[in-house]
Amino acid sequence: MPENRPVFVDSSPLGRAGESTRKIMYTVSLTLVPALGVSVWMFGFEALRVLLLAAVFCVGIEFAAFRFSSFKIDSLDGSALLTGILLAMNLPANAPWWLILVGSLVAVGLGKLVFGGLGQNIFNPALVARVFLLISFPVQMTSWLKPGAVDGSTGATPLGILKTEGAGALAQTDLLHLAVGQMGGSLGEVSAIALLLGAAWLFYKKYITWEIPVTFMGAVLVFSGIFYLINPAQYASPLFHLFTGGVMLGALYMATDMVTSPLTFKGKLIFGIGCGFFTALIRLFGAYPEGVSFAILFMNAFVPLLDRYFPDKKFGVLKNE
Amino acid sequence: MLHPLKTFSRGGIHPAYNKFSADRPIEYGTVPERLLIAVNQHIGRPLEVLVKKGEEVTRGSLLAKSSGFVSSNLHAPAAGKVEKITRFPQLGGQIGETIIIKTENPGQSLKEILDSETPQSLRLDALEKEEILKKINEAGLVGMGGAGFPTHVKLSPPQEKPIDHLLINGAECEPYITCDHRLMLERSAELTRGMLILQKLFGGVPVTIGIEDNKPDAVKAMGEALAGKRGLSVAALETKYPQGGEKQLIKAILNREVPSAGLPMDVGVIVQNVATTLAVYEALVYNRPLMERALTVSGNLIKNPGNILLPIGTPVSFIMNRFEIDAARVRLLLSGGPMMGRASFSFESPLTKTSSALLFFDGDYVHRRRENPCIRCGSCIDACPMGLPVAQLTESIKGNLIAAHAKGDIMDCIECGSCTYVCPADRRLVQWMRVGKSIIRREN
Ligand code: SF4
Ligand code: SF4
Repeated sequence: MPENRPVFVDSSPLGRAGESTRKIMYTVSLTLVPALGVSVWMFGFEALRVLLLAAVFCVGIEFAAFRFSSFKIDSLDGSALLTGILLAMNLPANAPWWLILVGSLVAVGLGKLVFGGLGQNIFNPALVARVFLLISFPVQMTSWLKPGAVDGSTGATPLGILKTEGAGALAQTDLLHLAVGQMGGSLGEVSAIALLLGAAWLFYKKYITWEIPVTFMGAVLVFSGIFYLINPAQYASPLFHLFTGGVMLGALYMATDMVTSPLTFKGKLIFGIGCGFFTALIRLFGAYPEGVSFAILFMNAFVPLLDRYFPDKKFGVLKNE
Repeated sequence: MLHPLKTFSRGGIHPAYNKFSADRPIEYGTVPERLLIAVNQHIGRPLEVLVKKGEEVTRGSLLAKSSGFVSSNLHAPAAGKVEKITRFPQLGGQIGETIIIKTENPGQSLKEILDSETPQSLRLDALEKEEILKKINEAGLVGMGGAGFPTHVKLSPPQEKPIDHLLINGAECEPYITCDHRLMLERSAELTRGMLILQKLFGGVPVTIGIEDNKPDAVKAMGEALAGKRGLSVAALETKYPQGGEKQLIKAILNREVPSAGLPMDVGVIVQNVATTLAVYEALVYNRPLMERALTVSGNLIKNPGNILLPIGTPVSFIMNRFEIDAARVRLLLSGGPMMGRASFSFESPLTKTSSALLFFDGDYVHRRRENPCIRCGSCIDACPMGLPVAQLTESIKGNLIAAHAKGDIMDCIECGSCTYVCPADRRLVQWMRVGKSIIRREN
């Protein structure tokens, strides 16, 4: 009998669809290029500097963690890069380098590694860092470069104006300008259209689904719309709320973060509505002009519960237990 | 097709189908020098071996006898002499008791053998149910799609589970495999008669054969063969894996959902495979036990993929010779399809009643990345045709922390492999589900 030679023995399935964590992370990063392009166009070299620093810091910190711990961490799997990019998108273009470093440490260290690394964290790392910085360094985090300002002059965001001076001060704001991105804000808050463009590719690749973005934006529109209808003189229009601040970035990229959003259909709907509701609530009645980060982080905490209590329908099970 | 294609509603994937051998007619194989016949090729009670070393056997002699109701006879596919009875590696990796027969006429064509066997005249209306079941039982029929469950048991549901529809599974949703496709094309008349016999068994209930629409010629051939037969019909199905899963097929064709932990008969249905239905026909019309089967030989290492009829017990090496496969290049040998088939380590392992395909791959096909952390992308859940929260279930299995409420879910997994196929983190999800099942079984 001819001798058996070694062959690979594995259990089925033997083929794979060809997706990988790296592919997803780098694709998501790439889809942010249009929005980053607008930022650089608006804020110039400063924006590029923030972006590069954040990316290098985040990847570097993960790499260091890998070197000096017994964890198996693939620091080039793209997740740290994506965290860095998203962190940069949450920072003002004139953020000093130490602010970015602290932010990266918080994002990668506190936001991700302390939970056990990729996939284990409950809260969105970039948002953990943003909120940490916002509370610890309010001055640096709220001095926004004016778009196109070569002299480095700073100004308030439209939402900041709304909070401090009321809806009347916004009378001349042009919605189209807001949508294209001609406003003050963090790197990722400037252009709604560029963000939508990038997200369209993610929809096509099925890396994000419609549930969270649609319910998030829908809830912002509905809740801010109710108050606009009650008193348009005091409250800004729902479209203004949709196109300013972090709603686009939050709804398309931050709330849809795979790791920190629900897995089930109903869970996603509730999550999105919750994000939108709390965003509107904080904007309308809170102390801060912007509420997206707080709202998403708050809803992140409910994700395990949403997954557990709003499961998808199983085959052959009529009512979920 | 005027009608929208039928399909199961939830989950499913679209792997590359690679049905290279779809237009290759089923060849007649020959009798190899040695047949290595695994004693236990079925699910159920082990068999009682009837032959001894040195004993002469003829084609159709009973080699091993079923030892209870859920069990299935085993016959010699060709005349010869029992050389030895030993433990031998099987396709799929397990070591099992095997009867090795040195054949009398190696090289004899199966066509010659089959042509010499004459059909009896069969009067369908004179057949008694008991007689049909008895013949199926004696012939040693098992589900030939891969499960190997004794057919007569499946066809004997308890009184309190009335059957009102029979389904024939011609979906053949696994990539590469084409033998059922060819059987539907080449033997549609006999298949139709097999369907009529099954219909008779259940008092004339409707019988529907479901075929994926990537086989339009089979849909057409079966449609023509079934024309004018009362209660017999074809359902064209969307091409989507696992359309041929029993529960998915029932959902697609009849829109009935087999309840969790239940069986098709709980919703009044029994599903039979195409090859099994043909074997039923042969058992009744030729009195022929299950001794050979059609299988697909394919993979990325083969120049001329094909379909071939071979005696059960034919060793893989014999097939490799015939299809000119260079053993030195084979890195992966699969019996069955790439989604649910099993990898084997021995080129001497023999075919069984359930071997629907032998696939030969080189190293390029072998997937060897390590498991990465779950990024909660949800792909596995979207792909799961059973709607299971796969990511969470497997995590709990890995940690050996299976919650009481999760046990039913884990047992409902049909092991289709869709979850592992799509997972970007290379997590071995169906593999963990299997581990979970065995943990739960051990507890009970
Ligand atoms: S193998 Fe099981 S868990 Fe995975 S997709 Fe199939 S049924 Fe779902
Ligand atoms: S497909 Fe893989 S990475 Fe995605 S949720 Fe399932 S187990 Fe996690």
